[in-house]
Amino acid sequence: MRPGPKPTGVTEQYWAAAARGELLLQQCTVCGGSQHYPRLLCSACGSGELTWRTATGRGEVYTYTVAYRPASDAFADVVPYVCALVDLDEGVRLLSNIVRVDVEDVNIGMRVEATFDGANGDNVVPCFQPCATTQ
Amino acid sequence: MIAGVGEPDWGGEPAASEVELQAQGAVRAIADAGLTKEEVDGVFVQSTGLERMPGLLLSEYLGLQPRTLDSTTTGGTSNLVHVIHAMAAIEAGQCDVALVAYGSTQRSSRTRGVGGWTESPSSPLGQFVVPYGYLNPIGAYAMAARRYHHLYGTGPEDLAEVVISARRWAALNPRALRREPLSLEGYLASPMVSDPLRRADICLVTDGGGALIVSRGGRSGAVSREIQIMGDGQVARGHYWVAGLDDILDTGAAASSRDAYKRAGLHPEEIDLYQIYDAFTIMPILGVEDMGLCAKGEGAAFFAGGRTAPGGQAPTNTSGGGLAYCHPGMFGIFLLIEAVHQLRGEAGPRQVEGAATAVCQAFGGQWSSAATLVLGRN
Repeated sequence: MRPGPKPTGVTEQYWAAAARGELLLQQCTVCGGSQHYPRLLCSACGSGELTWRTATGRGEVYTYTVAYRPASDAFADVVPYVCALVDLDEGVRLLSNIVRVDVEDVNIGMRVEATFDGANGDNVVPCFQPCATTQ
Repeated sequence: MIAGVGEPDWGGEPAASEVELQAQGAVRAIADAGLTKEEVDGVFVQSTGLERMPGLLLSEYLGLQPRTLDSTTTGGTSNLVHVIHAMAAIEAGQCDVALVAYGSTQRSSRTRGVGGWTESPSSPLGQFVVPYGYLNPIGAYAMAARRYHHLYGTGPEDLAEVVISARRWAALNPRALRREPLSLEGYLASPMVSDPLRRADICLVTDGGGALIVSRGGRSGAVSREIQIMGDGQVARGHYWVAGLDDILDTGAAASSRDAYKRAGLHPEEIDLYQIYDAFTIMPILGVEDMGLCAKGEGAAFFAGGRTAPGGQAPTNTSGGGLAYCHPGMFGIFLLIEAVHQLRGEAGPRQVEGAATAVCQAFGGQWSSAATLVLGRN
Protein backbone atom coordinates (compact mmCIF):
# COMPACT_ATOMS: atom_id res chain seq x y z
CA MET A 1 0.00 0.00 0.00
CA ARG A 2 1.35 3.40 -1.00
CA PRO A 3 2.01 5.40 2.18
CA GLY A 4 -0.71 7.99 2.49
CA PRO A 5 -0.33 11.65 3.34
CA LYS A 6 -1.84 13.03 6.52
CA PRO A 7 -3.54 16.24 5.34
CA THR A 8 -3.54 19.39 7.42
CA GLY A 9 -6.08 22.22 7.37
CA VAL A 10 -3.98 23.90 4.69
CA THR A 11 -3.69 20.84 2.44
CA GLU A 12 -6.95 18.94 2.95
CA GLN A 13 -8.62 20.47 -0.12
CA TYR A 14 -5.67 19.44 -2.27
CA TRP A 15 -5.97 15.84 -1.17
CA ALA A 16 -9.76 15.82 -1.37
CA ALA A 17 -9.44 17.02 -4.97
CA ALA A 18 -6.83 14.38 -5.76
CA ALA A 19 -9.20 11.70 -4.48
CA ARG A 20 -11.78 12.82 -7.07
CA GLY A 21 -9.20 13.02 -9.87
CA GLU A 22 -8.33 16.69 -9.82
CA LEU A 23 -4.94 18.36 -9.41
CA LEU A 24 -5.22 21.66 -7.53
CA LEU A 25 -2.65 24.42 -7.29
CA GLN A 26 -2.70 27.43 -5.05
CA GLN A 27 -2.78 30.72 -6.90
CA CYS A 28 -1.85 34.03 -5.29
CA THR A 29 -4.44 36.76 -5.85
CA VAL A 30 -1.79 39.45 -5.31
CA CYS A 31 1.17 38.42 -7.47
CA GLY A 32 -0.64 35.88 -9.61
CA GLY A 33 1.90 33.11 -9.06
CA SER A 34 1.01 29.47 -8.60
CA GLN A 35 2.66 27.22 -6.07
CA HIS A 36 3.04 23.60 -5.09
CA TYR A 37 2.92 22.34 -2.35
CA PRO A 38 0.03 24.25 -0.70
CA ARG A 39 1.09 26.66 2.05
CA LEU A 40 -0.31 29.23 4.45
CA LEU A 41 1.10 32.02 2.31
CA CYS A 42 2.49 32.73 -1.13
CA SER A 43 6.17 31.85 -0.91
CA ALA A 44 6.92 34.37 -3.67
CA CYS A 45 5.29 37.56 -2.33
CA GLY A 46 4.18 36.61 1.18
CA SER A 47 0.50 37.26 0.62
CA GLY A 48 -1.98 35.08 2.47
CA GLU A 49 -4.62 35.70 -0.21
CA LEU A 50 -4.57 32.38 -2.01
CA THR A 51 -7.20 30.67 -4.11
CA TRP A 52 -7.33 27.20 -5.60
CA ARG A 53 -7.14 26.60 -9.34
CA THR A 54 -7.46 23.36 -11.20
CA ALA A 55 -4.27 22.55 -13.06
CA THR A 56 -4.30 21.31 -16.62
CA GLY A 57 -2.34 18.35 -15.29
CA ARG A 58 0.00 18.60 -18.27
CA GLY A 59 3.69 19.22 -18.15
CA GLU A 60 7.06 17.75 -18.96
CA VAL A 61 9.72 15.70 -17.23
CA TYR A 62 12.51 17.96 -15.93
CA THR A 63 14.57 15.02 -14.69
CA TYR A 64 13.93 11.60 -13.21
CA THR A 65 15.42 8.53 -11.62
CA VAL A 66 14.46 4.88 -11.75
CA ALA A 67 14.40 3.34 -8.28
CA TYR A 68 15.66 -0.25 -8.31
CA ARG A 69 15.56 -0.41 -4.53
CA PRO A 70 12.25 0.33 -2.85
CA ALA A 71 12.09 3.33 -0.52
CA SER A 72 10.13 1.16 1.92
CA ASP A 73 8.36 -2.17 1.99
CA ALA A 74 5.34 -0.42 0.49
CA PHE A 75 7.20 -0.15 -2.82
CA ALA A 76 8.82 -3.59 -2.84
CA ASP A 77 6.33 -4.95 -5.37
CA VAL A 78 6.61 -2.08 -7.84
CA VAL A 79 10.38 -1.80 -8.45
CA PRO A 80 11.69 -0.58 -10.77
CA TYR A 81 9.61 2.61 -10.66
CA VAL A 82 10.14 6.15 -11.84
CA CYS A 83 10.36 9.21 -9.59
CA ALA A 84 10.43 12.42 -11.59
CA LEU A 85 10.38 16.15 -11.20
CA VAL A 86 7.57 17.34 -13.45
CA ASP A 87 7.34 20.94 -14.64
CA LEU A 88 3.65 21.70 -15.02
CA ASP A 89 2.57 24.04 -17.78
CA GLU A 90 1.42 26.40 -15.00
CA GLY A 91 5.07 26.91 -14.09
CA VAL A 92 5.35 24.85 -10.93
CA ARG A 93 7.54 21.82 -10.31
CA LEU A 94 6.50 18.79 -8.31
CA LEU A 95 7.74 15.32 -7.55
CA SER A 96 5.67 12.42 -8.77
CA ASN A 97 5.79 8.98 -10.33
CA ILE A 98 5.62 8.35 -14.06
CA VAL A 99 3.35 5.35 -14.46
CA ARG A 100 1.99 3.18 -17.29
CA VAL A 101 5.25 3.38 -19.17
CA ASP A 102 8.28 1.14 -19.52
CA VAL A 103 10.95 2.68 -17.31
CA GLU A 104 13.34 2.55 -20.26
CA ASP A 105 11.04 4.78 -22.29
CA VAL A 106 11.01 7.76 -19.89
CA ASN A 107 13.01 10.74 -21.08
CA ILE A 108 13.85 14.24 -19.97
CA GLY A 109 11.49 16.59 -21.79
CA MET A 110 8.81 13.92 -22.22
CA ARG A 111 5.28 15.36 -22.20
CA VAL A 112 3.16 13.91 -19.42
CA GLU A 113 -0.36 14.28 -18.04
CA ALA A 114 -1.83 13.68 -14.62
CA THR A 115 -3.47 10.40 -13.72
CA PHE A 116 -4.99 9.56 -10.40
CA ASP A 117 -5.52 5.87 -9.95
CA GLY A 118 -2.80 4.87 -7.53
CA ALA A 119 -0.90 1.67 -8.05
CA ASN A 120 -2.87 -0.20 -5.42
CA GLY A 121 -6.19 1.53 -5.68
CA ASP A 122 -5.82 3.27 -2.35
CA ASN A 123 -4.20 6.45 -1.11
CA VAL A 124 -4.76 8.18 -4.44
CA VAL A 125 -2.02 10.67 -5.24
CA PRO A 126 -1.43 12.64 -8.43
CA CYS A 127 0.81 10.66 -10.77
CA PHE A 128 1.73 11.21 -14.40
CA GLN A 129 1.70 9.17 -17.59
CA PRO A 130 2.93 9.94 -21.09
CA CYS A 131 0.56 12.23 -22.97
CA ALA A 132 -1.65 10.33 -25.37
CA THR A 133 -0.94 12.90 -28.10
CA THR A 134 1.52 15.72 -28.53
CA GLN A 135 0.16 18.83 -26.89
CA MET B 1 42.83 28.91 13.77
CA ILE B 2 42.13 25.22 13.92
CA ALA B 3 44.32 24.35 16.90
CA GLY B 4 43.63 20.64 17.21
CA VAL B 5 41.78 17.72 15.66
CA GLY B 6 40.75 14.26 16.85
CA GLU B 7 38.72 11.25 15.85
CA PRO B 8 37.30 8.43 17.95
CA ASP B 9 38.21 4.80 17.42
CA TRP B 10 36.18 2.81 14.94
CA GLY B 11 33.55 0.94 16.86
CA GLY B 12 33.63 -2.67 17.88
CA GLU B 13 30.84 -4.49 19.66
CA PRO B 14 28.95 -3.28 21.52
CA ALA B 15 28.71 -0.06 19.54
CA ALA B 16 29.61 3.28 21.12
CA SER B 17 26.87 5.84 21.73
CA GLU B 18 26.79 9.16 19.91
CA VAL B 19 28.03 11.14 22.89
CA GLU B 20 30.86 8.66 23.44
CA LEU B 21 31.99 9.16 19.84
CA GLN B 22 31.79 12.94 20.22
CA ALA B 23 33.59 12.86 23.55
CA GLN B 24 36.45 10.62 22.42
CA GLY B 25 37.05 12.84 19.41
CA ALA B 26 36.83 15.92 21.64
CA VAL B 27 39.32 14.62 24.20
CA ARG B 28 41.79 13.87 21.42
CA ALA B 29 41.28 17.24 19.73
CA ILE B 30 41.78 19.08 23.04
CA ALA B 31 44.99 17.14 23.69
CA ASP B 32 46.13 17.67 20.09
CA ALA B 33 45.74 21.42 20.65
CA GLY B 34 47.79 21.27 23.84
CA LEU B 35 44.82 22.51 25.85
CA THR B 36 42.85 21.25 28.81
CA LYS B 37 39.11 20.81 28.90
CA GLU B 38 38.83 23.60 31.45
CA GLU B 39 39.83 26.02 28.70
CA VAL B 40 36.94 25.00 26.40
CA ASP B 41 34.18 27.56 26.77
CA GLY B 42 32.22 27.06 23.54
CA VAL B 43 30.56 23.85 22.33
CA PHE B 44 29.33 23.37 18.77
CA VAL B 45 28.07 19.85 18.27
CA GLN B 46 25.76 17.82 16.08
CA SER B 47 24.67 14.23 15.65
CA THR B 48 22.23 12.73 13.20
CA GLY B 49 19.39 13.32 15.54
CA LEU B 50 19.12 10.70 18.23
CA GLU B 51 20.08 13.26 20.84
CA ARG B 52 17.58 16.01 21.48
CA MET B 53 20.01 18.47 23.10
CA PRO B 54 23.45 17.36 21.99
CA GLY B 55 25.29 20.45 23.27
CA LEU B 56 23.96 20.04 26.77
CA LEU B 57 24.65 16.31 26.81
CA LEU B 58 28.23 16.59 25.53
CA SER B 59 28.92 19.36 28.04
CA GLU B 60 27.66 17.21 30.89
CA TYR B 61 29.58 14.18 29.63
CA LEU B 62 32.89 16.05 29.41
CA GLY B 63 32.30 18.17 32.51
CA LEU B 64 32.28 21.48 30.63
CA GLN B 65 30.58 24.74 31.55
CA PRO B 66 30.49 26.44 28.14
CA ARG B 67 29.53 30.07 27.76
CA THR B 68 27.97 29.39 24.35
CA LEU B 69 26.37 26.38 22.65
CA ASP B 70 25.28 25.79 19.06
CA SER B 71 23.76 22.78 17.31
CA THR B 72 22.68 24.42 14.07
CA THR B 73 21.46 21.80 11.62
CA THR B 74 22.08 22.39 7.93
CA GLY B 75 22.67 18.80 6.86
CA GLY B 76 26.11 17.97 5.53
CA THR B 77 27.36 21.53 5.92
CA SER B 78 26.62 21.58 9.66
CA ASN B 79 30.19 20.99 10.83
CA LEU B 80 31.58 23.74 8.59
CA VAL B 81 28.78 26.08 9.63
CA HIS B 82 29.68 25.34 13.26
CA VAL B 83 33.28 26.39 12.55
CA ILE B 84 32.01 29.61 10.95
CA HIS B 85 29.72 30.21 13.94
CA ALA B 86 32.60 29.46 16.32
CA MET B 87 34.76 32.06 14.56
CA ALA B 88 31.95 34.60 14.92
CA ALA B 89 31.43 33.72 18.58
CA ILE B 90 35.14 34.17 19.29
CA GLU B 91 35.10 37.48 17.43
CA ALA B 92 32.06 38.58 19.46
CA GLY B 93 33.67 37.62 22.76
CA GLN B 94 31.19 34.83 23.46
CA CYS B 95 33.95 32.24 23.84
CA ASP B 96 37.70 31.83 23.44
CA VAL B 97 38.17 28.12 22.79
CA ALA B 98 35.47 26.42 20.76
CA LEU B 99 35.02 22.68 20.57
CA VAL B 100 33.38 21.61 17.29
CA ALA B 101 32.28 17.99 17.51
CA TYR B 102 30.26 15.44 15.64
CA GLY B 103 29.22 11.89 16.34
CA SER B 104 26.66 9.56 14.88
CA THR B 105 25.55 5.98 15.34
CA GLN B 106 23.40 5.94 12.22
CA ARG B 107 24.63 2.50 11.20
CA SER B 108 24.45 0.60 14.47
CA SER B 109 21.22 2.25 15.55
CA ARG B 110 19.70 1.71 12.09
CA THR B 111 18.24 5.19 11.92
CA ARG B 112 18.78 5.35 8.21
CA GLY B 113 17.93 3.00 5.38
CA VAL B 114 18.10 3.33 1.61
CA GLY B 115 14.77 5.16 1.67
CA GLY B 116 15.98 7.82 4.08
CA TRP B 117 14.68 8.97 7.41
CA THR B 118 11.16 8.58 8.69
CA GLU B 119 9.11 11.71 8.00
CA SER B 120 6.01 12.86 9.83
CA PRO B 121 3.09 12.05 7.47
CA SER B 122 1.69 15.59 7.88
CA SER B 123 5.00 17.35 7.09
CA PRO B 124 5.60 18.68 3.58
CA LEU B 125 7.87 15.72 2.81
CA GLY B 126 5.46 13.30 4.45
CA GLN B 127 2.63 14.51 2.24
CA PHE B 128 4.33 15.34 -1.04
CA VAL B 129 7.43 13.15 -1.22
CA VAL B 130 7.05 9.98 0.85
CA PRO B 131 3.92 8.79 -1.03
CA TYR B 132 6.03 8.58 -4.20
CA GLY B 133 8.68 6.20 -2.91
CA TYR B 134 11.47 8.65 -3.50
CA LEU B 135 14.79 7.50 -2.07
CA ASN B 136 15.75 10.45 0.11
CA PRO B 137 18.31 11.87 -0.55
CA ILE B 138 19.70 9.37 -3.09
CA GLY B 139 16.93 10.26 -5.53
CA ALA B 140 17.89 13.94 -5.59
CA TYR B 141 21.44 13.24 -6.64
CA ALA B 142 20.34 10.53 -9.06
CA MET B 143 18.06 13.09 -10.73
CA ALA B 144 20.95 15.58 -10.84
CA ALA B 145 23.21 12.97 -12.43
CA ARG B 146 20.50 12.09 -14.94
CA ARG B 147 20.15 15.71 -16.00
CA TYR B 148 23.93 16.14 -16.14
CA HIS B 149 24.23 13.15 -18.46
CA HIS B 150 21.40 14.55 -20.57
CA LEU B 151 22.91 18.04 -20.95
CA TYR B 152 26.58 17.15 -21.28
CA GLY B 153 26.63 13.69 -22.82
CA THR B 154 28.39 12.09 -19.88
CA GLY B 155 27.78 8.56 -18.67
CA PRO B 156 28.60 5.91 -16.10
CA GLU B 157 32.32 5.88 -16.92
CA ASP B 158 32.47 9.54 -15.86
CA LEU B 159 30.87 8.89 -12.48
CA ALA B 160 33.19 5.91 -12.08
CA GLU B 161 36.29 8.12 -12.18
CA VAL B 162 35.25 9.82 -8.94
CA VAL B 163 34.93 6.65 -6.90
CA ILE B 164 37.96 4.98 -8.50
CA SER B 165 40.01 8.01 -7.41
CA ALA B 166 38.51 7.89 -3.91
CA ARG B 167 39.38 4.20 -3.54
CA ARG B 168 42.97 4.87 -4.59
CA TRP B 169 43.29 7.44 -1.81
CA ALA B 170 41.58 5.13 0.66
CA ALA B 171 44.11 2.41 -0.13
CA LEU B 172 46.74 4.77 1.32
CA ASN B 173 44.68 5.56 4.44
CA PRO B 174 44.90 2.85 7.13
CA ARG B 175 41.73 4.19 8.79
CA ALA B 176 39.65 4.03 5.61
CA LEU B 177 36.82 1.54 5.75
CA ARG B 178 36.69 0.64 2.03
CA ARG B 179 40.26 0.23 0.88
CA GLU B 180 39.99 -2.35 -1.90
CA PRO B 181 40.68 -0.91 -5.36
CA LEU B 182 37.85 -0.47 -7.83
CA SER B 183 38.16 -0.93 -11.59
CA LEU B 184 35.81 0.43 -14.24
CA GLU B 185 34.59 -3.14 -14.77
CA GLY B 186 33.94 -3.46 -11.05
CA TYR B 187 32.08 -0.17 -11.08
CA LEU B 188 29.88 -1.21 -14.00
CA ALA B 189 29.08 -4.48 -12.22
CA SER B 190 27.84 -2.57 -9.17
CA PRO B 191 24.06 -2.92 -8.86
CA MET B 192 21.84 -0.01 -9.81
CA VAL B 193 20.11 1.62 -6.83
CA SER B 194 18.52 4.77 -8.24
CA ASP B 195 19.41 4.98 -11.91
CA PRO B 196 21.92 6.35 -12.89
CA LEU B 197 23.45 5.93 -9.41
CA ARG B 198 24.80 2.50 -8.54
CA ARG B 199 25.81 1.11 -5.20
CA ALA B 200 29.39 2.24 -5.94
CA ASP B 201 28.26 5.85 -6.47
CA ILE B 202 26.85 6.06 -2.96
CA CYS B 203 28.76 6.78 0.24
CA LEU B 204 29.33 4.35 3.06
CA VAL B 205 26.85 4.29 5.93
CA THR B 206 28.92 4.08 9.11
CA ASP B 207 29.08 5.17 12.71
CA GLY B 208 31.81 7.63 13.59
CA GLY B 209 32.67 11.12 14.65
CA GLY B 210 35.31 13.74 14.95
CA ALA B 211 36.18 16.97 16.67
CA LEU B 212 38.32 20.04 16.27
CA ILE B 213 39.28 23.08 18.30
CA VAL B 214 38.77 26.60 16.94
CA SER B 215 40.57 29.39 18.77
CA ARG B 216 42.49 32.58 18.10
CA GLY B 217 45.62 30.44 18.12
CA GLY B 218 48.94 31.08 19.75
CA ARG B 219 47.73 29.41 22.95
CA SER B 220 48.55 25.82 22.27
CA GLY B 221 52.29 25.90 22.66
CA ALA B 222 52.50 24.37 19.20
CA VAL B 223 51.88 27.31 16.91
CA SER B 224 53.43 25.60 13.90
CA ARG B 225 50.77 22.90 14.11
CA GLU B 226 47.93 25.42 14.05
CA ILE B 227 46.09 25.75 10.79
CA GLN B 228 44.83 29.10 9.66
CA ILE B 229 41.21 29.53 8.57
CA MET B 230 41.95 31.83 5.67
CA GLY B 231 38.47 32.29 4.29
CA ASP B 232 34.90 31.18 4.83
CA GLY B 233 31.62 31.33 3.00
CA GLN B 234 28.19 29.86 3.49
CA VAL B 235 24.83 30.13 1.81
CA ALA B 236 21.33 28.85 2.51
CA ARG B 237 19.42 28.52 -0.72
CA GLY B 238 15.82 29.03 0.36
CA HIS B 239 14.70 25.50 -0.48
CA TYR B 240 14.53 22.44 1.72
CA TRP B 241 14.47 19.67 -0.82
CA VAL B 242 15.30 19.54 -4.45
CA ALA B 243 11.94 20.29 -6.08
CA GLY B 244 12.32 23.83 -4.79
CA LEU B 245 15.55 24.48 -6.70
CA ASP B 246 15.28 25.94 -10.22
CA ASP B 247 18.44 24.30 -11.58
CA ILE B 248 19.23 20.88 -10.12
CA LEU B 249 22.86 21.26 -11.27
CA ASP B 250 23.35 24.44 -9.19
CA THR B 251 25.04 23.30 -5.98
CA GLY B 252 25.29 26.65 -4.20
CA ALA B 253 29.08 26.32 -4.04
CA ALA B 254 29.54 29.19 -6.48
CA ALA B 255 28.36 31.67 -3.85
CA SER B 256 29.94 30.06 -0.80
CA SER B 257 33.33 29.48 -2.44
CA ARG B 258 33.42 32.96 -3.98
CA ASP B 259 33.16 34.49 -0.52
CA ALA B 260 35.76 32.10 0.92
CA TYR B 261 38.31 32.76 -1.85
CA LYS B 262 37.79 36.51 -1.54
CA ARG B 263 38.43 36.47 2.20
CA ALA B 264 41.44 34.18 1.70
CA GLY B 265 42.83 36.35 -1.08
CA LEU B 266 43.32 33.26 -3.24
CA HIS B 267 42.11 32.12 -6.63
CA PRO B 268 40.81 28.55 -6.68
CA GLU B 269 43.54 27.32 -9.03
CA GLU B 270 46.17 28.48 -6.53
CA ILE B 271 44.91 26.07 -3.86
CA ASP B 272 46.88 22.85 -3.41
CA LEU B 273 44.20 20.30 -2.58
CA TYR B 274 40.45 19.90 -2.49
CA GLN B 275 38.20 18.22 0.05
CA ILE B 276 34.72 18.13 -1.51
CA TYR B 277 31.72 16.45 0.06
CA ASP B 278 31.15 13.22 -1.85
CA ALA B 279 28.09 11.47 -0.52
CA PHE B 280 27.45 10.64 -4.19
CA THR B 281 29.85 10.69 -7.14
CA ILE B 282 27.91 13.46 -8.86
CA MET B 283 28.49 15.85 -5.94
CA PRO B 284 32.20 16.61 -6.43
CA ILE B 285 31.73 16.66 -10.22
CA LEU B 286 29.25 19.50 -9.87
CA GLY B 287 31.24 20.86 -6.95
CA VAL B 288 34.43 21.53 -8.88
CA GLU B 289 32.41 23.37 -11.51
CA ASP B 290 30.73 25.69 -9.03
CA MET B 291 33.97 26.11 -7.07
CA GLY B 292 35.48 27.69 -10.15
CA LEU B 293 37.95 24.89 -10.87
CA CYS B 294 36.50 24.28 -14.32
CA ALA B 295 33.60 25.39 -16.49
CA LYS B 296 30.04 24.09 -16.19
CA GLY B 297 29.89 20.74 -17.92
CA GLU B 298 33.61 20.05 -17.48
CA GLY B 299 33.43 18.61 -13.97
CA ALA B 300 33.51 15.03 -15.20
CA ALA B 301 36.68 15.74 -17.19
CA PHE B 302 38.24 17.20 -14.03
CA PHE B 303 38.21 13.70 -12.52
CA ALA B 304 39.26 11.87 -15.69
CA GLY B 305 42.54 10.05 -16.11
CA GLY B 306 43.51 10.04 -12.45
CA ARG B 307 43.92 13.83 -12.20
CA THR B 308 42.38 13.81 -8.71
CA ALA B 309 43.97 10.53 -7.56
CA PRO B 310 47.31 10.03 -5.76
CA GLY B 311 50.07 11.59 -7.85
CA GLY B 312 47.57 13.59 -9.93
CA GLN B 313 47.72 17.33 -10.42
CA ALA B 314 44.44 18.01 -8.56
CA PRO B 315 44.49 15.92 -5.38
CA THR B 316 40.91 15.60 -4.18
CA ASN B 317 39.35 13.84 -1.21
CA THR B 318 42.68 12.51 -0.02
CA SER B 319 41.21 10.54 2.91
CA GLY B 320 39.10 8.45 0.54
CA GLY B 321 36.10 10.71 1.20
CA GLY B 322 32.60 9.67 2.06
CA LEU B 323 32.77 7.12 -0.74
CA ALA B 324 35.63 5.14 0.80
CA TYR B 325 36.84 6.56 4.15
CA CYS B 326 33.66 6.65 6.23
CA HIS B 327 30.31 8.42 6.25
CA PRO B 328 28.50 8.69 9.56
CA GLY B 329 25.72 10.96 8.25
CA MET B 330 27.67 14.20 8.00
CA PHE B 331 31.12 14.22 6.42
CA GLY B 332 32.06 17.88 6.87
CA ILE B 333 34.14 17.31 9.98
CA PHE B 334 36.26 14.78 8.06
CA LEU B 335 36.86 17.22 5.19
CA LEU B 336 38.37 19.59 7.74
CA ILE B 337 40.33 17.00 9.74
CA GLU B 338 41.90 15.57 6.59
CA ALA B 339 42.85 19.04 5.35
CA VAL B 340 44.51 19.74 8.70
CA HIS B 341 46.52 16.50 8.54
CA GLN B 342 47.63 17.31 4.99
CA LEU B 343 48.60 20.90 5.79
CA ARG B 344 50.58 19.75 8.83
CA GLY B 345 52.39 17.23 6.64
CA GLU B 346 51.30 14.31 8.82
CA ALA B 347 49.18 12.38 6.31
CA GLY B 348 51.67 9.55 5.90
CA PRO B 349 51.50 7.54 2.65
CA ARG B 350 48.79 9.78 1.24
CA GLN B 351 50.61 13.05 2.00
CA VAL B 352 50.40 15.61 -0.81
CA GLU B 353 53.94 16.98 -0.94
CA GLY B 354 54.22 20.64 -0.16
CA ALA B 355 50.52 21.18 0.50
CA ALA B 356 50.19 24.69 1.93
CA THR B 357 46.54 25.51 1.22
CA ALA B 358 43.33 23.47 1.03
CA VAL B 359 39.71 24.16 0.31
CA CYS B 360 36.92 22.26 2.04
CA GLN B 361 33.54 22.35 0.32
CA ALA B 362 30.44 20.93 1.95
CA PHE B 363 26.86 20.55 0.77
CA GLY B 364 23.80 20.19 2.99
CA GLY B 365 20.27 19.01 2.42
CA GLN B 366 19.75 18.69 -1.32
CA TRP B 367 21.92 21.55 -2.55
CA SER B 368 19.99 23.47 0.15
CA SER B 369 23.05 24.73 1.99
CA ALA B 370 26.66 25.18 0.88
CA ALA B 371 29.70 26.06 2.98
CA THR B 372 33.34 26.60 2.05
CA LEU B 373 36.45 26.97 4.19
CA VAL B 374 39.90 27.76 2.84
CA LEU B 375 42.64 26.55 5.18
CA GLY B 376 46.35 27.24 5.12
CA ARG B 377 49.58 26.53 6.95
CA ASN B 378 50.21 29.04 9.69
